[in-house]
Amino acid sequence: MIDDFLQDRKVIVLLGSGGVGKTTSSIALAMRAAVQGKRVGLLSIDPAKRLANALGIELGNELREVKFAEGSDGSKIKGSLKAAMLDQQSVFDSMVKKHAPSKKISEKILNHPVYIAASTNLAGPLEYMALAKLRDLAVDPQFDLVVLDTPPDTHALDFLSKPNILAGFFENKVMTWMLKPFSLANKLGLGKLMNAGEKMMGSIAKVAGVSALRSLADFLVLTQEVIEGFNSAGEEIVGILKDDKTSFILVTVPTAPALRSSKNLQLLLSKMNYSCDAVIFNRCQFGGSENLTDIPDDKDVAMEIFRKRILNESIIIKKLKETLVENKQNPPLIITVEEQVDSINTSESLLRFAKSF
Amino acid sequence: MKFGDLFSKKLVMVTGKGGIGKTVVSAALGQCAAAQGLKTLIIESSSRDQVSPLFGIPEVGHLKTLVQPNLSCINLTQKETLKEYVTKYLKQEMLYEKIFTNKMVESFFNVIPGFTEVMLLGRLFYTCELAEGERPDLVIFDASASGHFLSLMTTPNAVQHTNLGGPLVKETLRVRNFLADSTKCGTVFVGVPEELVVSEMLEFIPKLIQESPCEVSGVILNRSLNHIKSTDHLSAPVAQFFDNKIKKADLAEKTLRQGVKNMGADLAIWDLPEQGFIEEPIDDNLGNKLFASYL
Repeated sequence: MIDDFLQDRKVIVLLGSGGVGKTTSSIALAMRAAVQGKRVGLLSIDPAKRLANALGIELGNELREVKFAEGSDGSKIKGSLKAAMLDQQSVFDSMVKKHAPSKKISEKILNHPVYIAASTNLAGPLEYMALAKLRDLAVDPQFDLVVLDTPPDTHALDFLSKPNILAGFFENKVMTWMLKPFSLANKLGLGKLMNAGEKMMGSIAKVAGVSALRSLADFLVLTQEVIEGFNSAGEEIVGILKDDKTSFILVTVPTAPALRSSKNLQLLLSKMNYSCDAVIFNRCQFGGSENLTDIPDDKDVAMEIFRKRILNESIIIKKLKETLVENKQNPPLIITVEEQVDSINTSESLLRFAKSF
Repeated sequence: MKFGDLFSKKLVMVTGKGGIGKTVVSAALGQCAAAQGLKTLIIESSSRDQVSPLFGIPEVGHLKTLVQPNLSCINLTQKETLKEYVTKYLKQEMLYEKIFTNKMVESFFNVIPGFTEVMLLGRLFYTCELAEGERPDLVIFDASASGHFLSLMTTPNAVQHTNLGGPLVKETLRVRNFLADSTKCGTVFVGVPEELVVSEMLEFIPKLIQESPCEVSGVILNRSLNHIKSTDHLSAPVAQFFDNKIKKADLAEKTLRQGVKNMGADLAIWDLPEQGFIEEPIDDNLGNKLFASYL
């Protein structure tokens, strides 16, 4: 079933809340497609670098070939897998270099305090970066399939609703225009700001401080062309995400909070006309089968844990299925994956995990 | 540190890897404190409420809501935090109504480095120490996952070293000092006894100790299987399931205890018994059930 699904896909985006096994699932899918004979590109943003460790190679922003054998006899796989692990700072830097009008300006941007603070300290722009990279890979003829792992859900939602690169970061040109007086009349006090826009900025300055705004203004004027470059890439990305051969996969686990979060994600996906074509339920007991629900109501501690787990697991899976059916005409593919007691930390264990799908 | 000492603080922040039960732990901690007679407030800052659904009520957002005797919860969204700051701190109600409801203004604040983080920490400080009227005895902050939490906690120091200035940045020094006061604030780190999670914890906790001004008070090991004494009486597939799990969990917990010892940090480790499944709404008594051996 999963193999048929993978067969004609060009882009797969995995979504889910934190700790549900998104990264592991994305590697497993990528490996499985490579075994099938596809040339697969995998983009991950796993902050714990577990992917890199598991695959036994140093992963960075550049794609690297991941070699693994299909069977224990060392037989070669038909396709290929290249993977990259995105790190915010270097993707950010390379995009500035690409879009800046001159080397001098790109240097200025890279050394600007606002840039340094924003590109290193703060969470946020990573998901946009991942999308930019996704676009590069999706149009690259050397890949049949691109798999994208995403950050935990609240951020994923941001990037889906505003796929313009850095949309949340530099909003738009109007902002630059509003801030210009601060940059041009750097030495003017707040009292000198006359027009409506300037008054508004003056009020903001009361809260954030004048120097914060000046610094930001300098930065925005400096980066105007870079931002335009970022935004035009955003349009193209929306096109890729809405393509028929693009699928979103929801990754989840059978717990109540994960159910809430996946319902929410699913709803948002359908509102935005992105298609959720499959759900991966990780960490199920006995693969979510329902024939084990007939467990005696025992007072024993271990039995109690076991019983509660099995019963609720099937309830959760059923509830999510109902939501999916409510929101979509074609119920998506549901894949239940049994809980792995052994750690998945080698390419062999990953492939074994992939085969259990 | 003894578990009960947590309740003599003003602010306990709960963090850990995603998906390991931080929110349930925060709620259970809140229940324990409330049961001891402390007026307790659970604060979260999420796009959608995570805490209120645990108590079986509709999303509360920024409206502080009583969920059990002595226990309330609130979700401080960025927008509400800004509003509070402008109207209560700066006493500029008019200014807020006129200017800050503007959507574009909001996005300005999103791009000022560190601004939203500092504002959130400021709001925690304000709630614990400055708020007019009745203040909670204890605030439990159901914080973000470890990576984001670390960047939140490093902001007060980071903004002191930028040239951004402004009233809010000046204010952060006071906030930082509050967070650094171990009689008032502490962090608990939540994990589970699994090999990969434990190795991430051992990598992360020293970083947190070093870079966050706030004390790391202890580690909570959720979903512990230590309370299952024997599996001999269970049917074969069930027994096998537990035996394997217990073996792995034991090993992971040993690694954690040894690792913490090697760190030289005086960190308590509190085990919480696996429940199989946490139903929503949670049991009024969940806190006592989870923390029974420490109360």
